[in-house]
Amino acid sequence: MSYLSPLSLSAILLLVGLTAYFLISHLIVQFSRKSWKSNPIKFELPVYLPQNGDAYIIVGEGGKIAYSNSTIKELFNLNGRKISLESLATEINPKESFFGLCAQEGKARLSLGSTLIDGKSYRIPNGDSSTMLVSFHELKNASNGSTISLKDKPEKTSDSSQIPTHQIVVHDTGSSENITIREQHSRTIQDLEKKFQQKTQQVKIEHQRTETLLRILTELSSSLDFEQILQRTLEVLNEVIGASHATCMVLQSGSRKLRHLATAGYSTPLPPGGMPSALNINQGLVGWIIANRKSVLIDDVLKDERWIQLPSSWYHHRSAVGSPIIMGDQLLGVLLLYYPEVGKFSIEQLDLIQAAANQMAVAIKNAELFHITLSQKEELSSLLREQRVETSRSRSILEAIADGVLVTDQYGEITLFNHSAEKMLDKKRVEVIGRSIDHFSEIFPGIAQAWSETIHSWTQDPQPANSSKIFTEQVSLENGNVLSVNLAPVINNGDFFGTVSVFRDITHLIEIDRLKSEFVATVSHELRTPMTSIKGYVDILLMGVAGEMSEQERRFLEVVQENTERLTILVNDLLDLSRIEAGQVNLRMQPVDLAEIIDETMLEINRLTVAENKSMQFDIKLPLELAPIHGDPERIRQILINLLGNAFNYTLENGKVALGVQQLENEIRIDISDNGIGIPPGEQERIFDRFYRGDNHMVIATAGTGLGLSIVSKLINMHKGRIWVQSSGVEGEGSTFSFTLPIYNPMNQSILLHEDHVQNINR
Amino acid sequence: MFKILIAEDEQDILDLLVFTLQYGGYEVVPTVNGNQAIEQTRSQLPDLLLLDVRMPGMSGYEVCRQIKANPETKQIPVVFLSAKGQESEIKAGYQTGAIDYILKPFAPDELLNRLGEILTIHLSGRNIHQIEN
Repeated sequence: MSYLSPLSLSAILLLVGLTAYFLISHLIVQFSRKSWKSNPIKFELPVYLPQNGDAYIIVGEGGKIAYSNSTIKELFNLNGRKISLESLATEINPKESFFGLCAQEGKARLSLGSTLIDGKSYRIPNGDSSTMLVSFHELKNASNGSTISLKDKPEKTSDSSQIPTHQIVVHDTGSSENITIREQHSRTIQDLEKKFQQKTQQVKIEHQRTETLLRILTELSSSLDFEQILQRTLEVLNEVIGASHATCMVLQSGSRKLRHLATAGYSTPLPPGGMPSALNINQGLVGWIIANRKSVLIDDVLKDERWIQLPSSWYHHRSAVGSPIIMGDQLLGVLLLYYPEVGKFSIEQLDLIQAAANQMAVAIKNAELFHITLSQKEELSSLLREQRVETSRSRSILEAIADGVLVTDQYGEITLFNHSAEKMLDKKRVEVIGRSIDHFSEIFPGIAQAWSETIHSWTQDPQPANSSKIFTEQVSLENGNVLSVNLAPVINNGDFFGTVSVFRDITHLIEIDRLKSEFVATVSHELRTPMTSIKGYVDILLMGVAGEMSEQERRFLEVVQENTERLTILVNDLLDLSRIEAGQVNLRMQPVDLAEIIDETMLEINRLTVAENKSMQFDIKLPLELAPIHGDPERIRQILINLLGNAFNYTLENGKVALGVQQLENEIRIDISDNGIGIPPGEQERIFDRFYRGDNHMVIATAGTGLGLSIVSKLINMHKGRIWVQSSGVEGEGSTFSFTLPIYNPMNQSILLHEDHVQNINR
Repeated sequence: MFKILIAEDEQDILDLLVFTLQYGGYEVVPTVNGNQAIEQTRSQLPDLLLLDVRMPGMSGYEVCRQIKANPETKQIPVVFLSAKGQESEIKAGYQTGAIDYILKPFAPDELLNRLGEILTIHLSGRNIHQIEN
């Protein structure tokens, strides 16, 4: 049976008693009060049987019931009958009843003459549901004329004979009360009693200790209000240990003093956060505990040398018990309990106090950690709040941007996809965020590969050098819309963070552009029809198809002819330019002999000089060996005529135009310079713009559309060349137009005479 | 005297062409649409066809194709006349079998020169052909 179970404690039944053996001899009872009808059993002594609910029978010789208490009488309905055990046995419950047993035993005893076993007990069913515990106890007297005492009412002593009797003690086990020990002379009883007492006491102590610890533990873990729980713990300890005052002190880093963190029993409560102790960590009892890391138990502190009695102290502690509060290796503080009388505490309690101190250590540590975590959490919270505000601000900005924004991280996952992006790409944010760039074509079906491939390659192989790279592309969507995408890597302190793509819906712009081109084309075309007539008729008139004309008629018609020519050129140039800009012009790229083209061009220029009746010196310098260039001969001719024509037109008569050709590594450079009116530096940027002719009177005077240089520069770009101008702007110093054309390299090109379609890039 | 058939729906330009060509010493067969052109070509067997590309109904290209498909007329050189100058158009034109492409507006004397050249080349070829026969 376990001591620690409260139920079992109370369920322990005591068996104490005496053994008895049947009297062999008669017992003479002088018992005045009772009158037995026939009473062969006599007790010489008065017998007092307890009337406490237990049934007592004294059985004498012959198995006769000598005495029974009222309980017996009630239990077995004796009603004053004097009855033998045997008969009673048969009357009630033969054999199985205790009486039967007794009778058996008795009989056996009688018959066999053996002693009943002292202290033996039997469980015997009693009627319906309860059982009876029957035990035999020997009524002993001292050997020679000593006393028999029953219970606690010893009367007179017998001084002659021994009166061994059986005392049959019947306990009804239906009731579960604590059975108190019947005090008998038996040493065994006393021993047992003592042992039982001890055990009970031990159990009690243990029980109390466990309960206390449980309470403390419950308190300590019931809340995180640290100081409160410490205080409650101390209160519990006070109660259990019986102390009047308790205090929990902790070490503080950077201080020689301890701090009272919680107290119990003191009249003035601690302020929140505790209070510093009056003593240093090396002083007093506390100091000793800290130094030695041991607990103390002091009966009288005034007699203990370690104790420092503070004069200011209100309290008169005499007993003290204390324990260091240790967590692992670390000494956190001290737990102390006091009492104003000496010798209050015991060694057993020390155990409990140490256990409590250990629990406190955990709690203190936890609280420490909790505080750290709490302050960290608060810091993080506020940081997070700040960040959230910032993020939400950024997000708001991003959402407000009309351009679509798509951001990928260093792992190629899409992390941002703003509202405009949702609209433009017709995809909800949830379908996109978190997906990998590898699935780009799945997420955005039909989108151009180059965009996703570039993101992919940059993500796979991010290089700091890429930070200046920007990838631009026009992306056509399934629904026919066109987006202009700008893609750039995100580099922060040399680390690759991902990419950001910004895209804009330029469908509208492209549409407008297309309409413009279409308009220009249509208009140009429409203009040509009437102009055919105008030019045609004027020309044939001047040819004389309608006959002779007067001089004046001729002159007038010539004016008309000139202007028709101008108009024609304008219309042609407009159309040409618009087609180039619309990407409708295909170059017939082939190896071209520049020298030949220059020759042809010069023929035409000469025709021009003659027609204009303006003499000009032309200086052509060509190297002897010139590699073929890669280009469209027709267009190169167009470029040269334009530039040479300009040089001619904007130089005064008898001026000089020089054309020089140099062969560089991969390209050929052509310089056309004149000593004409020059181009002021401020205008040099704009001369390649459409219709821009500047302010110079000579330019205005000259027939021109302002489209020539625009067309020329575009054509050169289409050849993958460059064009630029140098001029001081001073009249008479002229200008030099330079441009490059690539050298024909059969390795780079596919087949000779293969018509390359050079894509024209919008701007 | 060489005979040139013109197909042009714009009256003014048609007249212009007639004047020009006559001035150049050619016999002119003017037509105003594709069907007329084909019909007249078959019946008149001109030495050269000058066709406007854009005409209502049948285009100049279609006329050319039909002319070239007909063994009787396929040897007649065809010259296109067009206001547009797009690469693709011009290429398409040559693919139908035309021999030259003249853009509008044109200089009448230039037109005469070009046509003269073509006829000379063609004629000599034909003459040789005839001699051989």
